[in-house]
Amino acid sequence: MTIEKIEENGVVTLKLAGWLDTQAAALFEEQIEALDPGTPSLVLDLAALEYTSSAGLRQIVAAHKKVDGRLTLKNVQPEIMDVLEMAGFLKRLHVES
Amino acid sequence: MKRSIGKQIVLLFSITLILTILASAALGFSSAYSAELEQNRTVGRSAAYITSDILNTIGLDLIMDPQNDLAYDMARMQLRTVCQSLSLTYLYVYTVDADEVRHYVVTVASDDVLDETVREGLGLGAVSREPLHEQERVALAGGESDSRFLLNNRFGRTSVWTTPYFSPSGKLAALIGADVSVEVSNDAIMKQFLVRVLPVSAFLIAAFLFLYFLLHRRLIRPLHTVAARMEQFDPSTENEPLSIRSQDEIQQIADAFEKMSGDIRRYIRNIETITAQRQYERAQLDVARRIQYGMVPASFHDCRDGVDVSGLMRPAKEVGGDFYDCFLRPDGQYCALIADVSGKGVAGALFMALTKNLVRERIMHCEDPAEALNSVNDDLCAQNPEGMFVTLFAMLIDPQTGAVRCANAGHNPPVLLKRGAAAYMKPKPGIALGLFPDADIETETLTLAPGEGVLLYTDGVTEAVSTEKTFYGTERLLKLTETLGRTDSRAAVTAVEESVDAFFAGCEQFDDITVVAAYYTGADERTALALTLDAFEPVKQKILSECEGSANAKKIVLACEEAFVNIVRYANATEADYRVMREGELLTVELRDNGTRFDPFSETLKDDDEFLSMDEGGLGIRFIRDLTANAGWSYVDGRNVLTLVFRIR
Repeated sequence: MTIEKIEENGVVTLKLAGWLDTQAAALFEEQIEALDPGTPSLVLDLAALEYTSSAGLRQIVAAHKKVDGRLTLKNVQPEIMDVLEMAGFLKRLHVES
Repeated sequence: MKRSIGKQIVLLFSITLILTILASAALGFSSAYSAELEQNRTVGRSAAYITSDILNTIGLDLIMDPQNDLAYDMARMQLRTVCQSLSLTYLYVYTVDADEVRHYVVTVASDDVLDETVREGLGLGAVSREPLHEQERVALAGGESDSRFLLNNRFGRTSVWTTPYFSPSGKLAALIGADVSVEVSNDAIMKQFLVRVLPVSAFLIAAFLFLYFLLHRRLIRPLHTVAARMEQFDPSTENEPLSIRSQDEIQQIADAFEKMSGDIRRYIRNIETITAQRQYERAQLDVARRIQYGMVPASFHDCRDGVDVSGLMRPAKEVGGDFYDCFLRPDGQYCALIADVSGKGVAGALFMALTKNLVRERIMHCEDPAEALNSVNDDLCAQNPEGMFVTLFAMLIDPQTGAVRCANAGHNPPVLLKRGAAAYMKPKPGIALGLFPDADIETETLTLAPGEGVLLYTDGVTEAVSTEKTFYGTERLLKLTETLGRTDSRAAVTAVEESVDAFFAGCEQFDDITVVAAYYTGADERTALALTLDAFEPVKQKILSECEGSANAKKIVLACEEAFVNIVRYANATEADYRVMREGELLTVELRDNGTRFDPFSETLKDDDEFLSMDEGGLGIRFIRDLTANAGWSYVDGRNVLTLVFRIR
């Protein structure tokens, strides 16, 4: 699991790659905690994310709260999309197709 | 049609006709010419004869006497009468001196105007120095020329006959010239020519037209009719019979064509019937084949408590007779068997279906495999009018102990797969089922240690033929199995399949290739789990390898991870273990822990509306419920046992 952080014009993009399992979720959590709550826009780029457990999803909810809803998911792969849907997240999160 | 026969005949006829007419014209002309020449000569001679007579009567000397006008005039008058009566243009008498100069004596012409001219111009004393003609020289020599010569001078175009005149004393005294107009002469020739040629030509042309008409009516038109009918021939429609109304070769062709088209129509109808029949039969055969292969799956894998079994069958082109069967008996014994039915095609397939069901039913109900096979044999012998038979090897594995009971009915000896070594089993050969009522097949026993197994195969494997016409053979199979080591059953059958494939690469597969590998995995395949998050890794790998290529693999991992994380976080356990079992398309994962008794499925699920509190938990159990085909919890011997069953596909 790797997380790459890119800041550009106030937009913070976190590129998640690999397996976001319960262990890796801790790494993700650190990144979320380090975020400035005033970040105008947070983007999670999931192009290379192969797997996520509920721990990973919980951190996505945490991130959503932290930036007060200014969160966008992009490049969501079909398998991850299934999990998001199963968790009922698609109705609440902004997913860029 | 590039060159029609009609046109060719017309061309040929026309050429012949023209040549004939030309030839007849040439002949006609030459005969008219000679007739005219003869006529001319007669006239010339008559003129000379009569002139000589006149000259004798009057006397040449008197005529030549310039003082004697009377004699001259009389001679002129008489000669002119002759000239006119013989239709000559000119008639004249002249002498030739030593210098070959002509001295005219008297000249007359038939025409009045011409006569006046020649009276002045060619009268007595007129001379001509024109060179002498050959005919004149002959006459001067006293001979009578047989030919004439042509003159073309101011007196017109004439042909001239020259005759010598002998005086009564017999002395050559003068020459007589008789001129016939060439125009007149030509007219005569033309008249003769037309009279001779015209009727012949007219007859030839008429004959040609008649012949062509006949030819057209009797040959060309019927030929066209037949040709047109042949061109329009359509085997799917019946035609009116051809009416040629003749008794000749054309009729023969037309009759032959009628017969041929009738035959073709009949053949085509036959072929259509036969093709339809074939298609029907092929469709039936395809259905039979599908049913047969439905009974024996192309690949099979079953991994459960104590045993790991895989089967594989690759049918040859024809409907073959191999089959295998793997199933669990109600008493927990696991049966694996393989068989090869004699004969191929539909008969083999039917016999196979019968045998397969019979064997499974008997093994289910008999305690002992030999007892089952002997019973099957009795039934097959009783209902086997075609004398077919089947070789079969059946084994029962006890998943608890690895004890094996097997029975052989004339089948190839299986390979015993031990750790790092392999050897052919040496079962009693037994006898193929269906041949003799008293087969006396016996049960033999052996015991497998955990990780050991048995490889069953049919002769499609050992008798696979390579491009070099060699058999795959038992030695090669043994060498291959030695390299298998401790592996799982699927890898074992795949290795055999790949090896045989590589062996006969490029050749057609002649026989069914069927392999079954059955391993005894040990009574308990449970693996201990540490209670840390990273302990999940081997579980994940095991699941991924069992579900290789399945789109569901990660979802199965997800559900298992959630269950495992719950145990690590909340169970307060000190010990945990797991096992993964595959049975066909179902994967079962069992997790055990000695922690607090807790049924994860008793909790009510959070509602979607509580999204914002989901970072606190509750998703995991939702995933487990959603992703499993079947999930259960039990509490046994102080342990929570969580059983998650997934569909691999």
